[in-house]
Amino acid sequence: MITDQHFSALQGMFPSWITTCSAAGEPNTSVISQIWYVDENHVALSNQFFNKTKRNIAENPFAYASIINPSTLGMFNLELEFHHTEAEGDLFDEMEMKLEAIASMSGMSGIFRLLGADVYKLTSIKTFR
Amino acid sequence: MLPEITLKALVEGVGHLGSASSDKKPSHTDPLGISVDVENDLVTCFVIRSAAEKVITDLNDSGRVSYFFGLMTHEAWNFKGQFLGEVELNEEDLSKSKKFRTSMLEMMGSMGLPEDAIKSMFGRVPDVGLQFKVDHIFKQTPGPEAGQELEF
Repeated sequence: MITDQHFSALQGMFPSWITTCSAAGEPNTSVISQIWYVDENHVALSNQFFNKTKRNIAENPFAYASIINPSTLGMFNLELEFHHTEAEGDLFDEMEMKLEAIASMSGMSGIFRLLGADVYKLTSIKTFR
Repeated sequence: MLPEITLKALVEGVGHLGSASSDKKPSHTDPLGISVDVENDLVTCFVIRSAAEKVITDLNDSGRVSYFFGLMTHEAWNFKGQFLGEVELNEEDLSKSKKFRTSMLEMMGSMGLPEDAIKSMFGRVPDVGLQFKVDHIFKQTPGPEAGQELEF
């Protein structure tokens, strides 16, 4: 599903946003630094401090996220389903290093801390504009 | 009454309006400006109907709203609330939207982004308002207080 046209929107140049929903049906929208490419059918989200998102996903695996191409400002909407969490390994290390760089550039060093790499299955990706 | 501390980010910041269907599939859309009734805890998000179809369907179905908004400074808040209905936009609403969209065009233009690209994001005029009543407020600024509820 993820093709060349989507890669630039997965570089973290613009923040992404994500909406999840609790088991009781309460939506929660939040902003995250980046959505990472894992393979053509999976992406990873950094589990930092967005605890409500994490709690919602534990109750209800569905998420909706948006990413932006920094050159064209074209937006893609992603329907996601939580798959698993990685707390070590290459993906985790890559995300941790990039996250620290983002934090450092935005004056939030020491506040952004990676707790885990949450891997999601991509169920659809649609061009919004 | 909506707390004063949230108003600068609410009026000047960028927001994302989240919803969920009755089968608990989430969605969101980007308002192109808002109006606020501070006294009555009401927020109306200006959207383009064709771009917000899923959210409008969700809101008419389940009724619950999550409105995340923030400033470039990272100050951010999340208003949770109950959808009240669609609102026809009047001249004052359209003027507020134009002011918001112009400020976004200027801000993103100053970042060196191409004008055509920015206009694809903020050059369009909203055609409907989605009004909700705020019943919970959560601080979302990154840091130890993120997620804390603000009583009001």
